[in-house]
Order: sequence, then C-alpha cells, then structure tokens
Amino acid sequence: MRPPALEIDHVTQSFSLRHEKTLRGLFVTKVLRRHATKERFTALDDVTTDISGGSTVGLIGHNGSGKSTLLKIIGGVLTPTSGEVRRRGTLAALLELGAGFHHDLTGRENVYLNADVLGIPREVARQRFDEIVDFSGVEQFIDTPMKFYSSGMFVRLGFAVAIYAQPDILLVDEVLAVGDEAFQRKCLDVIRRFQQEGRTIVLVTHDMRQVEEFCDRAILLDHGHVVADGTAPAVIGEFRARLGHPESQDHLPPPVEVVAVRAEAATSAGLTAVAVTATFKGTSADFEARVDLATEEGARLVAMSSTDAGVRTGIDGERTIRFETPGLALATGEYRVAVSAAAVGSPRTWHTSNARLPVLAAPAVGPLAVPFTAHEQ
Amino acid sequence: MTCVSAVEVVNRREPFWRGFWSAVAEIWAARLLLVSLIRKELSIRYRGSVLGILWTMIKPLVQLAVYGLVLGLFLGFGDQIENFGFFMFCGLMIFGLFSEAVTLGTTSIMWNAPLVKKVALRRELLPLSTTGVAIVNFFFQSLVLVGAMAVTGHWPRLQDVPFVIPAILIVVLLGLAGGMLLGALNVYVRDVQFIVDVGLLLLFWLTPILYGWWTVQQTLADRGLPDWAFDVYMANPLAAATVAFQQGAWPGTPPQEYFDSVFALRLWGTVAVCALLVWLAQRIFNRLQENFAAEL
Repeated sequence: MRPPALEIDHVTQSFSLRHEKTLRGLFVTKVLRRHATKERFTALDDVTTDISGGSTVGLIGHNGSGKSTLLKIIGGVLTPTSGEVRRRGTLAALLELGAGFHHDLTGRENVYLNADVLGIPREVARQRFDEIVDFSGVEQFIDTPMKFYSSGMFVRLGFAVAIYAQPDILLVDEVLAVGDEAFQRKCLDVIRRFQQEGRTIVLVTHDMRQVEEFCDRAILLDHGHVVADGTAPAVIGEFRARLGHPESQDHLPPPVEVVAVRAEAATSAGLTAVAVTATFKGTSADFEARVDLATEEGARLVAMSSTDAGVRTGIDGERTIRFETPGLALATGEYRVAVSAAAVGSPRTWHTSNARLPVLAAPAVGPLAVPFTAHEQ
Repeated sequence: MTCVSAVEVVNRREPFWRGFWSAVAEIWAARLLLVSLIRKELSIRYRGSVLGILWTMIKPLVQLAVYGLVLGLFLGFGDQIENFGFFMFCGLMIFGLFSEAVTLGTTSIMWNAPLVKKVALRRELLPLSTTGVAIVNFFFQSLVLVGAMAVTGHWPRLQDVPFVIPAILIVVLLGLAGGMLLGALNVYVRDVQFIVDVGLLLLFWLTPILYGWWTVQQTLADRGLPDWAFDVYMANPLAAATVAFQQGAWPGTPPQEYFDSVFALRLWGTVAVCALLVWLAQRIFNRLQENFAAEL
C-alpha cells in the first residue's frame, strides 16, 4: 500500500461575502458596523480525508457544495481558514477550465510561462513543446494572443500543458465537459494512461458516467460536508437518491422537516430585498436551518444559515424562522429558494423544501443587474 | 512512479511573525520564473508598439522638455541651478523608479488574476516582477543619462558617485514594499489604485525634483521656522534618496553642502528601515493573499 498522495486534514474554508469592494463598502461594514452586507459563508466544514497514491477520485455534489473549493485548496491556490493539506509528489491542476493563461500572451508564450510556473526546465519544455501543440490541435494559432482563442482552444491547450508536465497528481475541474467529442476521447485516453502509470487523479465533474467509468472512489460533498465516501457506484447511488427524492433524503425519517416556505421579494430603487419565512416541524435539541437563494439554473447566490445568524436553539413541535436579506441587485427573472433543516450532529440528514421567487426589477443579462461604467485605461 | 516523494504541506496559515525567510527561499528557488514574469510584463506592455522599450525613455524626456521650458526658462530656475536639465532628469529617474514600482505593483495582482486564480505560485513574485520592470526601465534611462554626460562632457564628481547606491536601494525597497502591500489591498478595496495616483502626485511635489532642496531649507529659515522643520521635510525617504541620487549623478554643485558623514549614516539607516518595511509588507501580503483566489 502506497502512502496517501494527499492528506486533507481538518480543512475548513469560510469566506466573507462582501458585496462592495470600495472604501464606502468597508466604511459601512467596519465603521458603522452594519453587518447586513457582510455574511460569512462556510464552503468547507472540517473536511478530513486521505487520497491514496495512484487512485482516481471523483468529487461530486451540487453546485456550491464545496467541491471546487476543495480542489482549489488541494491545488494550493486557496489557503484554508484552518487545517492543512499535505501532498506527496508534483501537482498540476486545471481549475475552472484553464491552466492560468494570460489573455494578452500568445499560446507559445503561455506554454513556456506555464512550464516556468510548474518548475519545468526550459530544455524539457522546448522538447515537449511540439507534442503539446500537437495534442491541443491549435498549431495554427500558437503565435496568436490567447484572447482570440475560443473557449475550446483555451481548454485544449490547458489540458495539453497540464498533462505534459507529467505530474504525480492531476487535478481536473469540469474540463472534460468542454471540447468536441474527439478531444474528449483523447483526454479520457490520457487519463486512462495516467491511471496505468500510477498517477493520482482528482476529478470534479457533474458527469456521473465519467465518475462511474474512471473513478475507483467517489466523495459526495453537500454544504461543505462529506456526506458520502466510497466506491463510485455506491456514492453515485446516494447522490441520485438525494437528487431524486428531496422529500426523504435518507431511509430514516428526518428529525426536522420543513413544512412551509414562503418567499417574498420587494424591489425598490433597483434593489430587491428577499424575505423567506419557513416553518419547521420536528424534535431536536439543536437544529440548523439553511436558506439558499439560487438562479433558475441552480447557481447559488446567497447562503444563509440560522447557526451563522446566531439563532441556535432546539425545536419541539413547530417553529417559524424568517430570513431576510438587504437589497440585492437581482435582475428580473425567476429564482429558486431552497430551505433545508437538519438536527446538528453527525451524520446530518437534511430535509429540503423548495420555493420559487419571481423578481421584477431591472432586466439584465445574468442574475445581477448592477450599474456599471466603462472607460479607457 | 515507484519512488515515494517527501511529504510537503500545500498551504497552511502561517503565524504572522514567522515565515519571511522561507518565503525568500521559495522566491529564490523560483528566480527563473521571476525572470520570465518580468519578460512577460515587458512584452505585454510594448506589444504591438513600434517603438517598444524606447517609450520608457520618451516619457521622461518629454517631461524634461516641458519642465525645462516652463521652470528652467520661463521661471528662470535654469539660471539658478547648474545643469538644470541633468538635475531634473536625475530626480525624475529616481522618483520614476519608485512611482512605477508602486503603480505597477498596485495592479499586479489584479492584472494577473488568471495566474493567481489557477496556479499555485508565490504571489509575491507578481509585485516583485513589476518592481523588476521598473528597474529595467530605470536601467535604460540611466543609459540615456550617461549618454548625455558623454555628449555634453559634464560629469558628476567621481567621489560622490557611490551615493547613488543607497539612493537606489531605498527607492527599490520602498517601491517593493509599497507595491506588495498596495497590490494586496487593491484586491479587496479597488479604491487603492486611485489613492495611489493621488498619493504619488503629492509625493512628487514634496520631493526636491524640480527645485533644489537648498531652496526649501532657505525658505523655511526665511520664514523663521526652526531647523527641525527642514529635517521633517527631509524625513521623507524619497527626498533623502533623491538628494543622494542628485549628489551622486548630477554634474553640478549645490550652493550649500548638505552632505556629511551624518547624512551618509542616515541614508544607510533609511535603507535599513526600508528593508524592515519590506519584511512587514511581506507578512501582511502573506496574510492577505490567502483569499486572493476567492476575491478576484
């Protein structure tokens, strides 16, 4: 048995969700102490696991479950709020569809810059250069600044650079979802070769077929917690069960249930205040209620937790909690509100109920409608 | 893949007071990357421009021409200060080194968001690389200076030339500290880049670049202010660096001697303080960089 390639040791990551990156915003939160615009969001909550050398592990979960954050921490791009990650061997990562390319540089310059970042000697990079370009299939554009590349070309070159770095550990985030079928085949062949060579691969993907096909282990994350860990089919089964039957996520009846959800939006001066009133039923000495506001497509915008808000008491019978946000710069459209409840303890069994929230504010492309300016730099 | 590599901690919060030397060691190990980042910055800056790096000389030369015309000719400074053109160019060069290091450093993290968000590298390399760019430009400008000396035959006093060393050290260290700190803050509060613009404007006029330091001393004395008022003015490390650089590189003599062994000592003291500021800036930077990937 080889020692673990990655040891993830009590990793917790929390962010402050500050809406304004200006002095005024800081003045409001720090000096006037109006914390309404500042919330802490725990993306990962005390995650501990080892990833053994030579294994292929799939991280799965909903959008916003913390899997990409975990990958960034493993990749060394984020420093966890507490805990640490230890690693054996070299690492290359493809986070958020890219290897860290600069738009103003040509493909060639970026390949060499990336090689320098990964610590690959110049001569080695020069030897592999033709293979990298050949694999990516962007020969024609290799001396063109990358801002003219299509997203597919970006990803192809990124993947090529990462694999020709021949890392002991490869992190891949959703990369295989982009690119045409022929390129996907090539990538999957490389992953298979890497597996045979005994390299470690950590994969974040929404494609369960890929997890089933490649991963000998899968980890399911939910709200920053590891909720399932085991063989790929078992964990995927668990994930599907949670997806398919939100009313009964586990075999046991949940100790706390969400019995009613009312979501209201009040728009004035372009800002929409959201209020969610939820009624919970059950018996628990200590329970946590969560409200997630997401776009129609499921991208989470705001996460609220009763624990973070300081409401932390038990429930016996029914309780109603009202969550309120200050004005958000939401665009016109329909949003999703998910209210979840669970008794505090481990394992947590979450019970979720959904509501729709129509917002009639300013029309905009994307979920946010904010005023903006543009000027020459 | 048979050998087992040593365990390495990927990332862990460091205590505030410790970790500077390990950062230095890591940066030293990545020095080739630093060189290629500097090259990248330069090549992006002058991409598609016909004159390329020549632009770094055109700007100070145009400044020189305008100030020379207005201050030197119209206001008559040219008659009061020997080789006024050289005098101003020395000041513009040394101040330009600082202001470029700080301005480019302030936006270095923001402009390199793709690198910061996707690859693990010591982020100090980014403000370091912009400081490197400022040094490269300074080098080209000093070629112009030396060229002009050769053409006109006006040379500085040889025994004073070593003064340029502490002057450059002060400005580089201060520019690096400023670039690191402000670059990190700018990720969180985007006002910083605008504050920097205003701050540099103030500093420019509070530094004896377009006028002689002796004029300040004289004016303060004439107004009946005590001697320490001038010491306060000179406490600005940029003023000290500029005066030292002029002493070492300007082919002329000030009407009064300010230079004595005490000033030389104070210059090196300032260098030490600036080095301490680099340490402090790195420690603050290290804490702030933890969340760069999430904040950008």
